Amino acid sequence: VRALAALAIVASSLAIVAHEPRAQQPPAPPPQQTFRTGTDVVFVDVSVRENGKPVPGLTPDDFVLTDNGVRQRIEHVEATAVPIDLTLVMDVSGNPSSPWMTTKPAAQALAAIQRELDDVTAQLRPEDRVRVIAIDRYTQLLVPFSPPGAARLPKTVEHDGLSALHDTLAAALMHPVEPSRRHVVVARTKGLDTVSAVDASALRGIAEQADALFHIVMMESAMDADMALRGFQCQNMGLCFPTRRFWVPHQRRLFGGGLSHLLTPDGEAVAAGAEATGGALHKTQVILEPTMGRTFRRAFEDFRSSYVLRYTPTGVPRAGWHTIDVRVPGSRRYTVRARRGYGVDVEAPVVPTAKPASLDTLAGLVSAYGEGRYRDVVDALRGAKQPDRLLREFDEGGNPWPAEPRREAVFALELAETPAFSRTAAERERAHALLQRFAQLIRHPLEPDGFELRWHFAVLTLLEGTLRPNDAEAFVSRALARFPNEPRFLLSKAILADQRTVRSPERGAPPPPADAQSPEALFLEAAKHPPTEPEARIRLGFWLHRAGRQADALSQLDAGGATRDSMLLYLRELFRGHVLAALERQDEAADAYRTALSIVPASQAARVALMNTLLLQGDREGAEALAEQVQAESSRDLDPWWVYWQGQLRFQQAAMAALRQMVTP
Amino acid sequence: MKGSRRPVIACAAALAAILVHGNAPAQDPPPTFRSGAAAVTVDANVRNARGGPITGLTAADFEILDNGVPQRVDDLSYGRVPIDITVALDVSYSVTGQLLEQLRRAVTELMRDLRPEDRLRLMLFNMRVSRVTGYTTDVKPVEQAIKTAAAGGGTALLDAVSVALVDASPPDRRQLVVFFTDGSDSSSVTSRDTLSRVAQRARATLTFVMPGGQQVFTSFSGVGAPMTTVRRIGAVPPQQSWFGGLARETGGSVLPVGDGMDLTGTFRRVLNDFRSAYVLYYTARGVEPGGYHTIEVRVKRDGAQVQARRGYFAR
Repeated sequence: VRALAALAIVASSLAIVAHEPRAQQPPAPPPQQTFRTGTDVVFVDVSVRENGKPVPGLTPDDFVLTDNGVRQRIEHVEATAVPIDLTLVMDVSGNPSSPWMTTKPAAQALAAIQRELDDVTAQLRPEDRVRVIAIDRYTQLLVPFSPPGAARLPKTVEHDGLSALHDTLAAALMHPVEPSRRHVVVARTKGLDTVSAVDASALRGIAEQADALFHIVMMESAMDADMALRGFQCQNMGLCFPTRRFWVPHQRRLFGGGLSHLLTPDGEAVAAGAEATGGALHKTQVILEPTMGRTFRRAFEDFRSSYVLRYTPTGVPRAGWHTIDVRVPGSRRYTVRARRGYGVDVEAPVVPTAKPASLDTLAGLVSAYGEGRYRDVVDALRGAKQPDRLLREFDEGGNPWPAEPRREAVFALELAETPAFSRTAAERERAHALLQRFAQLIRHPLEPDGFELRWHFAVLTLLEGTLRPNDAEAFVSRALARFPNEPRFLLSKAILADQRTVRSPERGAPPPPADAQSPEALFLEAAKHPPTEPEARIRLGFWLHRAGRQADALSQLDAGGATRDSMLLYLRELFRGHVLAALERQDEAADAYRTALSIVPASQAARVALMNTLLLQGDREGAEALAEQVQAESSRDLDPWWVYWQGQLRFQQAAMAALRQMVTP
Repeated sequence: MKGSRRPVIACAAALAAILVHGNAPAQDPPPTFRSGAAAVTVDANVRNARGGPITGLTAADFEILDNGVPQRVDDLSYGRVPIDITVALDVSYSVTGQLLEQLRRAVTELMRDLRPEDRLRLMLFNMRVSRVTGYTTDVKPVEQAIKTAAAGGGTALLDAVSVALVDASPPDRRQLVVFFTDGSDSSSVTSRDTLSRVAQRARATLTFVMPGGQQVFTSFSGVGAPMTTVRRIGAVPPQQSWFGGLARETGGSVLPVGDGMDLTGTFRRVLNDFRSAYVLYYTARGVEPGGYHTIEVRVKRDGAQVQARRGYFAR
């Protein structure tokens, strides 16, 4: 099934390439390996060597080429000088059986990559391009395709984690190749895979259909070190290989153990895939371990000395797999290497160029979101007449971005925002159900990660804002189960408990859960963490004020904790004013309100509180002047008090922006 | 003059001047007080058992108790003092379409019922309290402001009431504050207790017009609190609600409007009730001058029902 899934991805990517020119109606597309009805042209790279040396000077008549067994007329042969797109795949994954070992700094891992990158780019021409992909738990694009002199590594790389080898190689191979360029993939790996969705046979299928020259370099020294370490661990520490962690679905090795490094069946499959592209799997020769630089040099020389044969397939069905066989009958001593075939997807109907989809529909929203038009989508969703319908269609339609589950999870959050605030219980419940489902889906299989953290935070900021604490409780519990010591999640739990204490004089407060903790205890827990201490103490102070414990409230507000957040500074003074007024210290209360006004000059709440205080003190003129100011205030700034009860909703936009950034390609 | 006794006393002095000099023009200089003179005015609506106004009463028909001590009514006036009306509309939920049109019509009709010397100003509030027009007799800016009112956000009803009650109005004019609201509040910094104390010090009469039985909905703009923590009248009859008590403290009332929403008639009734009040003048004697004074107004007629403010605050 995995192989089928992977092949489906490859097929769809080839189909995109194949149909792109038709949709765009270009004036005269350059020759490329795409297939148009009746005039499909195929290009084949062919390396011809004799005793390891290139054979020059061959003409079309020297070659015999069959397509699915049918001989084809070779229209043109040229020695290649086309620019190269080089993908370097670096394995920076660690030893998953020794996670307790100290990992090397990212800078060290990057320095090793830089050395290999320098070694390779020194051989490239100005018109060539290089990109760098790293193998670890994720496929990390360290450098996008860049000219040789402009390839810059990032400042950090995730490394020494588990390995997603197959997935990364598949991603590297599936890059659509520009018609005027050639694609070479050189991957250096220990051959260990633990977490990929793509297995070795699927990877072979992908390689066979990829339009790339694929070389694999074995990191045999690293493999030996791993083996030695495992032996030591097993014999001396009782930690015998395989030390599988429960969340590791399996470990696959391309190369067998022992000194000979025999290939496992997986290794043989992937090596066959590499050979199908005209590349190879490179092992240690005598004592010389292959390097990326040397491997690429060899591949580059192959390229420079190879021929490009062009032919138009005739006499064979167009769709399906085409096996290519290239021979040079003139000499039996020649070694001829060429790609072994290509695939043509079943022709899809021509899709007329459509107008941009309306943002009233899920399809339109998905399309706009895919284009990064986040603001448009958010505006459309907030104004949606039937947000429930969009949720239902999304639920039923499956992931619109199959290769990007995280983007789907962020989009789900966008969709859930408006229904989460609905007055209709059914709409809210559907939004909650969607978020619950994605809270499961985004769980990293190994350990909580940054994306999951931010996703949970965005959900909590949203649900705190809906002022339905009982509905939000399940989400904060789930978030804390994954991130038990995250201060913002602890604060969220306290805020929800506080929201439950808000009483409507006529309707009462919502009933708390059976295991509900006191807001006081929860705020104190959140106050143990410096990032949330100021806010936790301010909120606790206000809660104590409302509970009638004015001295305790003042103590919490004065303890405060350092912050430069003007909103918190403002709220602290506003609440100090309330507490001091309750303590009949009216002059001090007025001073606190004045301080709050100095922090947020347009604040209506502080101005009204001061107005009330002055009036009750007998200063009618002062109160009247403030009443005038309140009504004449032209600032449209938000009074922080107005969103106090909505907890950390003020962070929601920033949380969503961070998530969008994480899923933007 | 500075002090909480001023609202009632200043108004009383101004009215005394009117009484002495007839219909004194509004631009007359504000009167001054002699030391020790505790002049108080009280608006009193008097109705018969069927709810109709009882007219033609004289000072001798009234009994006033100030902190339980009988007072002599020095004089009274009826319908002669110019009126300032503050109309405050709650735009925290969607007052669009038909409701907005009904409000526009009701307020403009109310303005046409005003006498030449009367004035009206418009306040809109959601979580933000804004005076849209100052006191005016010109219908057009008021009409235009209601037409273009944008709804949304949370509600700072108690803050808006407090601001409206505190806001200055010339002491020689009677002041009526009319709030059109569903009674929801999500964003006020003013507590109920504080607002009650503010109302005791206010000289305006506060009346609420409250839609009942209609679906109140909110739109979330990302800043205002949705109406889940709101304080609403709910199942409590409006007059018995906390708002009813607050209004009665100032001599006002709560007028519910049903699904038929005859807003024009309701607003007209509010004005007529206010206009048909007797303005009683007395000088408090035999009571401590400072602090809160309860007021009880009675009429020596069988079946007569009196609606008047319940007290005032003096320093």
